[in-house]
Amino acid sequence: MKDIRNFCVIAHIDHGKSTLSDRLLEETKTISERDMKAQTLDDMDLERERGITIKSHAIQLYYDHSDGQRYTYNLIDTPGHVDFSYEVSRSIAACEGALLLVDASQGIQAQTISNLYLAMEHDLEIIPILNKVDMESAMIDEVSDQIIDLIGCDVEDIIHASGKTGVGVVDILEAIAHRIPAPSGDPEAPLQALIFDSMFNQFRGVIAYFRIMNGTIKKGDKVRFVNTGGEYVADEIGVLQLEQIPKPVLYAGNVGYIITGIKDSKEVKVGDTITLKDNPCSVGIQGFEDVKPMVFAGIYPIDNDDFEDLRDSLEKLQLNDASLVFEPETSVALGFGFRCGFLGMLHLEIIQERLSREFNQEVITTVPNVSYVAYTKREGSKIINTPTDLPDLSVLDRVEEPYIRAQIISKPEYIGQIMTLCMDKRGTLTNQTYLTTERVELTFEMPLAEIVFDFYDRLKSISRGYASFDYYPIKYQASDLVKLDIKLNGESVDALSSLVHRTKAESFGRQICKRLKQLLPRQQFMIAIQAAIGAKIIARETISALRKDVTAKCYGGDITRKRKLLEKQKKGKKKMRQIGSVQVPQKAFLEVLKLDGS
Amino acid sequence: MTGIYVHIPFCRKACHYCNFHFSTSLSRQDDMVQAICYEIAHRKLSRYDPLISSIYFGGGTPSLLGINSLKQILEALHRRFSYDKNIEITLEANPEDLHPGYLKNLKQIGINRLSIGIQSFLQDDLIFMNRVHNVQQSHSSIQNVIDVGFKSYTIDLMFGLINRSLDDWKKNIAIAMSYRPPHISCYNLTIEEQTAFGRWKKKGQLREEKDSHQLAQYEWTVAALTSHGYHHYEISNYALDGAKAIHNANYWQGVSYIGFGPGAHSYDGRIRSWNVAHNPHYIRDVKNETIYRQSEILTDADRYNECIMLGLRTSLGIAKTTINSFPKDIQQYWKKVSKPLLQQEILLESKCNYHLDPTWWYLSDDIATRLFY
Ligand SMILES: Nc1nc2c(ncn2[C@@H]2O[C@H](COP(=O)(O)OP(=O)(O)OP(=O)(O)O)[C@@H](O)[C@H]2O)c(=O)[nH]1
Ligand code: SF4
Ligand SMILES: [Mg+2]
Repeated sequence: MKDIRNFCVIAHIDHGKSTLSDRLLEETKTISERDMKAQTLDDMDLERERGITIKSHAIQLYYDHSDGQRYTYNLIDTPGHVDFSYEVSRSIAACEGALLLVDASQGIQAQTISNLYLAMEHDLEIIPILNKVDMESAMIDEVSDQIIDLIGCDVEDIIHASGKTGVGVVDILEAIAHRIPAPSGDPEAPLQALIFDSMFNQFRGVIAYFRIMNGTIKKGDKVRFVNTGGEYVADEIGVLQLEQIPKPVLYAGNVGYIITGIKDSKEVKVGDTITLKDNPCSVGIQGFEDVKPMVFAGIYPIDNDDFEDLRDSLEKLQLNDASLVFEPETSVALGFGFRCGFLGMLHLEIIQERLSREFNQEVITTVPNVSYVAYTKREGSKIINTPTDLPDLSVLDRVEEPYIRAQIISKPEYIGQIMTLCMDKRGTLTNQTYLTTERVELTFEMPLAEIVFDFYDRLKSISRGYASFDYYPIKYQASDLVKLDIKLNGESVDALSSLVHRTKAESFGRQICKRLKQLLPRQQFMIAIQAAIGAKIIARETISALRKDVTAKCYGGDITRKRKLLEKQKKGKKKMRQIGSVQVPQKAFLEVLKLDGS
Repeated sequence: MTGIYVHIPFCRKACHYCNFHFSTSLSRQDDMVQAICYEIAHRKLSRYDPLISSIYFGGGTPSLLGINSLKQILEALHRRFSYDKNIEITLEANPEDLHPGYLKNLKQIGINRLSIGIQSFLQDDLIFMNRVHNVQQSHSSIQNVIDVGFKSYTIDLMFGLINRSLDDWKKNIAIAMSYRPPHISCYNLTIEEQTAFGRWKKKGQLREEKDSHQLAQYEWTVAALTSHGYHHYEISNYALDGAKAIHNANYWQGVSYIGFGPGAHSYDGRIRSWNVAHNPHYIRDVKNETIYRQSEILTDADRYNECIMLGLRTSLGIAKTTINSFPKDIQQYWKKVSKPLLQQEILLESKCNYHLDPTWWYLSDDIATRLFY
């Protein structure tokens, strides 16, 4: 166990975690030059296309240290985007140390701080790394000062590195063994292994990733999952290298995987403890806090018949993404589906994409909303995760909405614009601190509903990318909210309704109508789009009927070309859902909220 | 029976709306004619019925070719194929070429039908479209065709032009009717990407006419021409009794055809193939079929889709026998998807076929995608 080191790589988004991990894999020859590509650990197509990490990724490397010893390093690369912070917190539970990267050209950002705090809460040893020092815009001294201020280290503790040139990579590998403690734990004690992640493999069933805190596990052992009570045989155990490498036995301190042939995703829970049936531990390890979803939206199959398949897919996806929560619901417009909770809009988008790519499930996502609490005059409180659940006005006493505390870090020159934006979002400034002369931290209290949709994009654009922000929920507070209904040809579409602040209802309604006008394709009859509060119509648009959809000429050579064109159009139409008489494209429900400057 | 298409890929200048394959560099005409004759003589054609029902010279501008070139091509065809006794031999011609002398020669070498690219009888329209000819030539070409004694001919007109009123279009039709051509094609302007109009539209310099205006012109055309005794047998085509275009109608019924010349397509009922749409490459490679031609095998679903797509725009519609010739799963599929359209009376069922009412032809692409497999 003395030769094992478990650590994760944490940072603000884009500060170079995955790229630096590449260099560590390369230097330790964990990966051949031939298999090397940029951000190797981002192995999902979606991650590669978007250039961001979505999932934590664990990998084992061997390092021949200058002290003459060979070490086993278990590295976990984590995502930086705020929507995936749950991935970070679970990874941290499997580690004794963390490499905290700070982009030398960007300095400390909001998630640098929040991820650092997560790591410190778990007493991880922090190795601060000033990354991207190769960049011309690197501010070595200034950012070093920021790091020293933040974690209280000495200037010599900071390793200068570049994932691009490879500078500092050996220093990091050397420092890991010396500065991060070896795992403690007793290999002779009863087995206690924490499941920190899992995935579903079509052929092998559920694969759980664990960190052994105490004890030893052997292939063929009879194991028990402490919380679910399920008992299985460890058909295969092993360590996570670029591929899974089976091992006959794994000891306390190590990170590995287990396959027990479980096919039903409900039987494995991230945060559960694996122990041995014949020699169980007395208590499970404290698992993870339940995630609190920030945004809710309905997810519906395009074809109602696919409801059960969708449930199955969501369950499998949940194995790999423990932050996804869902329960069945029905919608007048869309039939049977699920109300799902997400950590943010990016998370929602990613889930929709993964359903499509990994499970071939085309789904409709309804207009998202946050979770409200409604107080009725007689029956007390009720949680409202979908606008249609709002009790009738006659019995309603008040509605409370969630508030968050937002911490925004920026250059001082953008304070004015940031203030304007946050006021517009119903925020109040509660604190303003200069971290250095060039970095100011603003704290606001704002309704969550105002920040989940387009806040971050707008913040980035007004600050030219220099502002970053982090937030956490603080309280519920009564608000003057109204239910805004959208009608298509006179029929209310519940999947498009939303709760909005009264002062904003009208402009919001107008914009939604405008946006729908752009999003709905013209059809064979006129479409009336209306926004209404109760019986009062506050905005309207019409889409004139489609009068012509035909090409004038179709002779010899045109025939193939045209058939292929129409076949493509047909594919597009398959992704539409009929609501009343109107065909609504799959993406309309989400896109409708991407209002420019609401 | 089989139809033959010969593509003559030259034009004097490019019309602003046109995305056909042609070149305005005319220098290699002779090489091209030799290459086409070579293809006619040597291409492997075992899968086609050698009895020919129609020949169609299209382009480009076939009337740009001298009479000897056309004669050479026709002779090459005759050496290789046998002709049905009612064979239709059409030449696409632009008005500026149709002098009496040339017409007499055409008649003499066996051309028995002309398709005249009039496009409009209004000078402004012709300029807008960048046509070579003027209004006088629009008139004289028709008169010459009649005088030389062609019984069968057709004229092309175009509507839905930008900033043209319904009245302008009515004038055009009235003039056309004064000649009472046996056949007339009225094409709604389609703005294609790879054309001058397409580029202007993309840049925002040109805005397509409102589709309600286009539809109004279409509907007026249908009413006017039908009242003049024309059969409206395809979305853009109208014919007096017995004057339907054999060649073009065959395309819509899935009859096989052989295309010669660059960019020409062929179809034997199963395989669609096409020649390279590049004049120098075609001339260079014509001796090597594997280079100048590409092909694809149509699946049952592809053929079903084509039969839907084409059938919906014609008065013949989709024959029940055709539907029944497809495998069971496709027939089942048709039953399922056609049902709502039949219920809404958009699709009409008669004894032998299914068809759309001409007012729906204007949405036939949209409807086709709902029936596609
Ligand atoms: N110049 C320079 N660019 C770097 C360096 N490291 C990473 N980059 C670039 O920075 C961008 C982000 O790099 P990633 O490694 O994906 O960052 P990340 O921290 O893993 O991002 P997330 O996982 O999405 O939070 C990419 O465009 C990299 O090419 C570096 O050391 N120098
Ligand atoms: S419309 Fe006819 S003449 Fe004009 S460019 Fe096209 S092929 Fe040539
Ligand atoms: Mg990454």
